[in-house]
Amino acid sequence: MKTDMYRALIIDNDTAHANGLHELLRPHDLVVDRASDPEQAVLKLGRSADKYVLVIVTVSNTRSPWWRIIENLQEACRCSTSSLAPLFLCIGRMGLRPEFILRLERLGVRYVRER
Amino acid sequence: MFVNDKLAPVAEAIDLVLTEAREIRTIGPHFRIIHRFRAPRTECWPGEEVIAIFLVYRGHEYQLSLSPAPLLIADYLLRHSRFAQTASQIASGIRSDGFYAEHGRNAGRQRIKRIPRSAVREYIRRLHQALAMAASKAGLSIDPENILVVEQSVSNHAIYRWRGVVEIAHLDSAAATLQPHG
Repeated sequence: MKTDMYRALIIDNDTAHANGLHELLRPHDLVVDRASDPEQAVLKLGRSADKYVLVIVTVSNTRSPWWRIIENLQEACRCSTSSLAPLFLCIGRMGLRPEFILRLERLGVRYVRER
Repeated sequence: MFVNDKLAPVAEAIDLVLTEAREIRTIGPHFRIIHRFRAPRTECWPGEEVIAIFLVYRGHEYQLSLSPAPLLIADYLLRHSRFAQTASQIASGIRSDGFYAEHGRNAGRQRIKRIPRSAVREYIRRLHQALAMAASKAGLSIDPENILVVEQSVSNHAIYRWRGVVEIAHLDSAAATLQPHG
């Protein structure tokens, strides 16, 4: 895979945090896009999910229905590409219930918590 | 604590997910074929039965919902994934291979009638459906036609090839009472 042809999408409403994630992606030669909210991300993925290999979702609060948001993002990917859709990585900034993490995993989403 | 320290686990997870994406795109997903009724000290010998094929994703198994005939074609294509083959080559390959000719004999099962060339295309369609269902359950959004690939040969025949990492596992439940044949 020529990674320079591919993109990663960061969904994060915190610019400084998103910039930190952007730095982490630099060695991978990916073009990095950012969406500040899931609605914007759905539009981006709905237009060209086949260009993305990775979608990073920062779980910034425990109030939002994240699994439903991720289902919508995955649905947007399925509608816009018939080949392999991007893989999802969720980043937790706070402690989450195991049930929540399990539910994410059942959507095929890998979960990691910041230190 | 520096930002980089906070994000160190994230950096590792990004490496992991990108490696996973690269493998799926270049090699294909991981499949596990399960054979049973093997004779002692044998593997993949005539007389065994193909009981199931799983898509394996992140350590979980997602079974392909298949009846015996397409299950045999899937087994054959996965085990011969080096070659793209026409429907005729698949049908004759299955017919001439003792593993399929004696399929399930160790358990006294009736063997499957031969798979005609003309039926292969329909079975491939069912295999695409089964792949799509298993991938959907796994939360893996893939095009089944990028995994079980159908291409046109220069003489305009459809040729089929299954992309992926293949692993064969054996259930030994009946092995103790069985003897090798042939």
